[in-house]
Amino acid sequence: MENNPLKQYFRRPAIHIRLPSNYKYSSEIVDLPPTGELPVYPMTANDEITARTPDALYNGSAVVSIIQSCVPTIKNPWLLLNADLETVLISIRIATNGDEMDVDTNCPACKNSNRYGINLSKLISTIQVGDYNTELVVGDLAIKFRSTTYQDNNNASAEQFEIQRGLAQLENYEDGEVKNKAASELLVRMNNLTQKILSKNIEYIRTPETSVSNQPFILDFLQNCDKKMYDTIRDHNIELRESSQSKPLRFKCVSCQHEYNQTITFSVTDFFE
Amino acid sequence: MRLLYLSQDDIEKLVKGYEEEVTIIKRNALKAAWYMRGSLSYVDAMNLSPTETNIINKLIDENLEVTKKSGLPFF
Repeated sequence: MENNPLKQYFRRPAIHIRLPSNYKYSSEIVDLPPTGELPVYPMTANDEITARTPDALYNGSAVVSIIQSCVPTIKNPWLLLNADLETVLISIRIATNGDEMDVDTNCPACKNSNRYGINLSKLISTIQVGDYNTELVVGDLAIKFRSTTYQDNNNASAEQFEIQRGLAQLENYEDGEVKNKAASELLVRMNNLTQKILSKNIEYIRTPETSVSNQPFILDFLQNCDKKMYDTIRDHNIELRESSQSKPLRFKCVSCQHEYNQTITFSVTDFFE
Repeated sequence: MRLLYLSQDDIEKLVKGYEEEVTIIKRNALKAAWYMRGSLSYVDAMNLSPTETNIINKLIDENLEVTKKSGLPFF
């Protein structure tokens, strides 16, 4: 409603953020303003409903819809790099509910459950993206990694969920042979999924003769290379992923004074509650 | 994905909880639209942020207070 006298009260950007990856997205994915900073609006009641729609949460469209509403310069959140996703989600939370967020942790020493307030702006400033530009050299091969997109992440989570449900249903099998067959099929599926995710994290593999960026070829290589090579690639990828996430926070237990580190995981589904 | 760690019963509880929360959100938006006597539509109310909703709620409280003090009929 253009003539609404309350329009002055309608939401405005609460904060502006820079994407930590500095990746040069096409304008169809992120329409970067000249300032290089993306305006972030608070969530609306409509967004709150989206965040409570189970099917939309499961298939990932809830997060996409919320990002499009709150960070409208991100045109296609499906193709947003995971390295940037956490920053975007935290900034939406800050724009909506302010800097402070309560987290519950259990002290590893006395098992006491504690609730702490954490400062999200401080946390966001600790997020740095791993060095995806430097190639990992293993023997003759140079491997270039990349951050996967939210779409890759979401597809993998959905498949992981199906496997997990399959594993939970194993106890319903009465026939031991059928049960073992189902279990081994699920394990093969889990293994294939892990390799598929890893292959998506590889931009290309350069040999002395050529450079391979074809995903099926890379996946085929991961399925057939020796264990040492596979472990090296996998560990490097884990290192890059961890260095792109917010760092663990230091807590002091109020009952036994024990100090411990705790990683705060920003699960997309319960982040906006 | 939180669903990975929840049992079937817990998932059902979670979904039920979401349904209840959605009803509360819609009810609050409709209530704000009703109290603002036409100057805020339901669509507008659904597009407000929590901060703006709080401002509108304060406005409603102030209007109610003024009406009470003035002795004029509110309805």
